Amino acid sequence: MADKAKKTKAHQHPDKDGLEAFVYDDQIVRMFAWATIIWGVVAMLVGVIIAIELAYPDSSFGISFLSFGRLRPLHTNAAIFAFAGNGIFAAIYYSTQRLCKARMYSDLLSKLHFYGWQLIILSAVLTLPFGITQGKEYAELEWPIDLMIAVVWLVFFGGNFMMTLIHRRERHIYVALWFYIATIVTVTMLHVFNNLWVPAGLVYLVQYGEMPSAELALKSYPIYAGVQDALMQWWYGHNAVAFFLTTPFLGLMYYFLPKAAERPVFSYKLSIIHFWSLVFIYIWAGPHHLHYTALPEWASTVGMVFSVMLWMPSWGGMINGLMTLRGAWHRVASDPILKFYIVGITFYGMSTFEGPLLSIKSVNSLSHYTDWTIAHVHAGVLGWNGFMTFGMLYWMMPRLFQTKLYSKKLCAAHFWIGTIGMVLYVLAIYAAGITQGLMWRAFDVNGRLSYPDFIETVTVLIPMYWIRVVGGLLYLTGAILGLYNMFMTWKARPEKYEDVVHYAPALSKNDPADPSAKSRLGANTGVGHAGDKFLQGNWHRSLERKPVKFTLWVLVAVAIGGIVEAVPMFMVSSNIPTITTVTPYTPLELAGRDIYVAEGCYNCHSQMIRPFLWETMRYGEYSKPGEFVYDHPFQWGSRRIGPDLAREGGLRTHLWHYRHFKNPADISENSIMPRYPWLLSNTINFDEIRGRVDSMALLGVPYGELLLEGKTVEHAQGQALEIAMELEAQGGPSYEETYDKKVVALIAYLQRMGTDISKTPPLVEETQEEVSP
Amino acid sequence: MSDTNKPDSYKGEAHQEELLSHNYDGIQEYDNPIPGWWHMIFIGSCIFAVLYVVVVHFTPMIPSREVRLANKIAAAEEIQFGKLREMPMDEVKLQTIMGSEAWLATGKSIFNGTCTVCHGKEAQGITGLGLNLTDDNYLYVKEMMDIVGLVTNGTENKKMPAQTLLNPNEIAMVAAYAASLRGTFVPGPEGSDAGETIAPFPAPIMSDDGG
Repeated sequence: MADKAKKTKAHQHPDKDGLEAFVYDDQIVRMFAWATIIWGVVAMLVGVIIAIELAYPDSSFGISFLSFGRLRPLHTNAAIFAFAGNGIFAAIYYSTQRLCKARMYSDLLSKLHFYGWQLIILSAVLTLPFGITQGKEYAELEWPIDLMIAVVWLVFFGGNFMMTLIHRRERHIYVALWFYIATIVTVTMLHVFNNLWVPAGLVYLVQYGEMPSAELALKSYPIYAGVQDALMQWWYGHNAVAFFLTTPFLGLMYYFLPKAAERPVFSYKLSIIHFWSLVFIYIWAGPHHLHYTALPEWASTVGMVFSVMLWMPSWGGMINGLMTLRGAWHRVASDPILKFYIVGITFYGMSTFEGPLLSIKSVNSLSHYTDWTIAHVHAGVLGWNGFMTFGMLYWMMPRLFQTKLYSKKLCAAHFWIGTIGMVLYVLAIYAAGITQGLMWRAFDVNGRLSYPDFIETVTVLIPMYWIRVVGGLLYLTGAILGLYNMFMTWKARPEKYEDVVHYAPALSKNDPADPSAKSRLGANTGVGHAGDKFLQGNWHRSLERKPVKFTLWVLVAVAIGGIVEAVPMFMVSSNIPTITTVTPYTPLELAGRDIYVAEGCYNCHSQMIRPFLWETMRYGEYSKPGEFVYDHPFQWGSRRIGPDLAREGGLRTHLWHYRHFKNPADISENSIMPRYPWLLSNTINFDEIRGRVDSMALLGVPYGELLLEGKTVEHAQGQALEIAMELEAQGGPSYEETYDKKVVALIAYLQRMGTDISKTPPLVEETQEEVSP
Repeated sequence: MSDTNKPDSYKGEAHQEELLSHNYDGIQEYDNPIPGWWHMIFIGSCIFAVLYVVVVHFTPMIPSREVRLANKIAAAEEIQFGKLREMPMDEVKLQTIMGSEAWLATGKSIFNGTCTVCHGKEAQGITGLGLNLTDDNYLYVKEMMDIVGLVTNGTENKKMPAQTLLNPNEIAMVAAYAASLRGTFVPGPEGSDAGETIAPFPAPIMSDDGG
């Protein structure tokens, strides 16, 4: 290699050929590598904890910040943004500098990126377990953290990356960089548009001149409601998988795999076509998370067919990965790093086949709300993201720490333990998902549900949940071995890292252009010639010389799908037919709904009955789009660890709910729901409900007279007292003890859920039979 | 990495492989064509997408999901309720249900999905929430049809809510099943035997077809 021959030590001045000298910044890579493995262990540990909670429900000990609903978002956010996130930053900082023959544009931006990102993760740890959440999956972090993410991602990371590309010394940008570009552009777009909110605390501050509590200060409501919020959320959610867990890892693969295998990449043509088809098609697939929900069917169809078309573009990456290993297979037996890559890419191939499969509506009717989805994402994250990351870390360790890897044996042990753990995990959870899905839809000879009591379909899963715990523990053990191996390698580092100086010429302005294609056709029309030239693909080679232009084309490719799906959903009213009996939540119900969001109830309960007989027989009339117009955010959920709650209102007494929150097992013997004793003792801040209602009003929720007369607080207290007195009449504790407790607000919300649709129009506004507080 | 255009263990097809002049930090790329099956499946999936959209959304071949559900519900009503659908809601209807094993089984299924959360798995009652339904004591019931009223409207003091998700035939079946539990005397917790002993319910009317 040409540049290796020119390696000399610490000569900073350019030589007479006009070559520029530069040193790669490996310190930033070391920092991200450490963050990757340490946060990885944390994310997996939290995963094991919540897995135990499902198998043995009282393992949260009635402690609020250990409850499943609050910890599960911490697990998912840590796995995605802390483990995978730091992993891709390590990969990008290492490979981009080398692929551009340039140090990162700004060391300061690199450092700001690193510390800013760790601060974001720390903020997640300090907010999510304490019920500070937006209540949208993988977008749980509240608005101040959202702002930090936008700045750190786009300005510190994106800015630094783009400036490095602009100041590169390599004429063409390599395929890994294309995927990094797609990642940066699209994640920015997704993050911004799914996190448009009204901060309730600021609304209160403007209206009443003070900030009542930290809780309200951090609270926000999305500007979208119901169906529209659901569409935006899963456009985001699915493409978080696409552009946070797929494209950057494909970029990682395209650099680290040929490096480790010491083989050329299989096909440049395939790189081009699978890159563009992937980024264009992926963005459309989001609605497949909402099959048979209140989302209009056309959107659901779009999500499905684009997911099916996505199969081959995804597999393009797998083919290029596995085929690159041709000629290196004999080394796989002895090199655990290549083993990590092969298993990782194989899991990628399986997941991206399974994804289109699950997006087919009829398959989805079985898989949706079950553990099948959970198994699918874990195959992807543990297999693809995890193993690609570990493979990369092991390859980098000796290079970053400039010494030998501490133990290849431990590395191999990590591979095998991780693989066994992963297989145990996914097999058990596939079995759990399919079992439960089939039980939900089973009918007996009399035409009734075979398992009408939901709990029956849960109890049967418990053994599989224990196998999951074992699988997760094994995977975690592997990661800890990795951490140990990295630590020991680091300990053997030289006293001072050697800064290798590289030399390369700067890019000149008048570099000869890439040869343009000549038509291979004989006698033909001009269009034919143009088409043949296009098919030869030399135009792409020219595009690879222009990173800014390239970035703009990526932006165009990823913007189209989102626009086509979202614009009609917001503009065409027939997508969400109005239901006249659906009215806004009362102030107390709204406060209760916020508690529902804060406790993360959506992690276990859906609020969306699909139009299937087995669902309507179990849960009642299927859900309509017009029922959710005041739901900021929507809370349809994605997994039924517990039953659907869409029509929960009025089905049970206040006392039932009160006692159920106190201890579900008292009422339902085998329930795996945790206890919520703090809801019975923590008080409602009635005053700040004003800020919640005012925020809703700002978003266009018609509260009318209630607001004008400034009676929000009074109304909430009246309703709370009413419920507390009913609770007492039903045999509960005295109303004086309960009326200002959070549980009363939550009960108010639960008793309202799904009831509007069966009311008779014209509806009389809020019942005025108030009991003065 | 200068030897990469002569792959050591891939001699069979080595002559077909053309290495491009690209070199990025030592990474090179082959100019291999995209596999034919990749093209075929990709184009096939695109054709499927178009056909699916046309067939499902622009032809009447597949009824909408609302229509499909309505058809399912209609067919299921026939299986579940049979001739009960024509019978008025009265004691005879409940007696008829009690005389059929199949309908009682349906009543039990509804009971398990709806009532056990307060009345317990064996209908033995749960302290403070639901009464024991297996003894002779009743608090809100004087005659069998009162059970139908309770399920439909709940109690006035709101200790039992109306079961609004059930249709009248389902209510009849679950009421008949609840009535049939009387006299099985499953021991319940303290206080679950509240109420007074009332006159026996009328006897089941046995039917031949069982619905």
